Amino acid sequence: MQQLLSWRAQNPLHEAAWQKLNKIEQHFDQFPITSKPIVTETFSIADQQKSALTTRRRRLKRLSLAAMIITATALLANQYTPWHQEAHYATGIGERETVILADGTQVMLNTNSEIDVNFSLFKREIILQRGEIYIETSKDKESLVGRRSFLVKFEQTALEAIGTKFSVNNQTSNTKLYVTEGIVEIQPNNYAPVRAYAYESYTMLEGTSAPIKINTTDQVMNMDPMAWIGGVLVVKQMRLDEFVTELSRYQDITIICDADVAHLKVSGVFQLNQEEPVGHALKAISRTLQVSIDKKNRAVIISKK
Amino acid sequence: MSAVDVSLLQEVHTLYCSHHGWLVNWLKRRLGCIHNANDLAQDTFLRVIDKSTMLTHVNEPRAFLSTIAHGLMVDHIRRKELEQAYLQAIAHLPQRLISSAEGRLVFIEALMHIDRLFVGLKPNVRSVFLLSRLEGMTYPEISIKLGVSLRTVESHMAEALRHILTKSR
Repeated sequence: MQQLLSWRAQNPLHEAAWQKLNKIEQHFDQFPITSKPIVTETFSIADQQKSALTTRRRRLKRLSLAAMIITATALLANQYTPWHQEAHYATGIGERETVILADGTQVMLNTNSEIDVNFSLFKREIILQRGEIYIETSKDKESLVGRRSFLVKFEQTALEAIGTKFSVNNQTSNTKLYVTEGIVEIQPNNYAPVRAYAYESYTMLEGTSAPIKINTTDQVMNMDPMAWIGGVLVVKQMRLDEFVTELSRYQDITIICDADVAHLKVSGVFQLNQEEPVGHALKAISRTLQVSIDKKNRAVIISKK
Repeated sequence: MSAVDVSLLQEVHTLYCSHHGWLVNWLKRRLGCIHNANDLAQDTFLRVIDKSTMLTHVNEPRAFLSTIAHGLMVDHIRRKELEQAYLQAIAHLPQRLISSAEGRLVFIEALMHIDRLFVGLKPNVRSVFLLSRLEGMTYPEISIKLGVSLRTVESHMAEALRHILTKSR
């Protein structure tokens, strides 16, 4: 007893510990002497049952996974897969559309774009046939096998999204990737994979080289690549001929830009959500640049004033 | 009732109206039983009222509710397990030693209390502690009963004490 008292006095922590222990053991007094062994017994029975249950569950899980794979193979052989989402989405010139896929992923298609959606048991795949898309991937909570990988494929390249928001713009001979959140891994057919992080941008030339990183702070970025999502075109010091190429994606009309005005620089915000985005945009630039706009049949000609 | 209390209750009410149905469903999916789901949803809101001073900081009401509900659900399941185990443990006892239904409730409550103290520890650590403190066995006796070395008994005991002293209040 003396020993105990001196131990308690040694350190305030010891005293606190003693108090706590005492308080806990007061609970033990609730048990009559005869039922004390029942406490330990109850716990050990509960532990045994629990471990038996988890082993059983684990076995069951393994079994059901095996069964699932077998059925999957069988169903694939039959060309019939109920968890498959196979879909096709396309927009015409001047249209934009948002689609929500089976897993909750949001895909926005810009003008004149086309995708195929292939969702299977183990992966989610979007094939970009042409045009531009913006994607916000979902967490894939309802999947049977945990989060499935998410791929966007075009030509020789696959992009694997790792919980992200990003856009892919596939125009003649080159494709651009812009990541706004998370990580996208670029997996070219013949080159090592490259990881693109938030606010990074890469350009991929058709099958000829490794992905090239675009310096986003540079003058090279004379257009906001995501502005179309909000239905506008935002450009800054962009060459007129480049601007015209960009603009002509949104309306079925031929725009001819004379060589002697092609180098002029355009800045501004242009509405895409209207009947004639080209007409409005060109009218706006003709107020600031020394150009005249003439309409002939289905073509617009921009020439020096 | 002060003005603050009234507005808090209104918040609880709003929370109830917009998320009670969702919560019941959430619980039902996990418990597989609508009656238990209803009970636990009710308990969840009782808890919310108990600690409603924190309500103003709730940005994600569903995450907030499901956290509380999850805790209650774990308790509920554990209580079921212990009740089952207790019934088995007393099955072979003579009738006169078995306590009344009310006594049983108190007993299970006490078991739950002990159980919570040892959350996160190996079951053997709890066994050593109980055999020593509750049943008054010596370390050598415990070592024989559990079939482990004396050293293990000592280290389990030390671990149990450390855990209890740093955790409980």
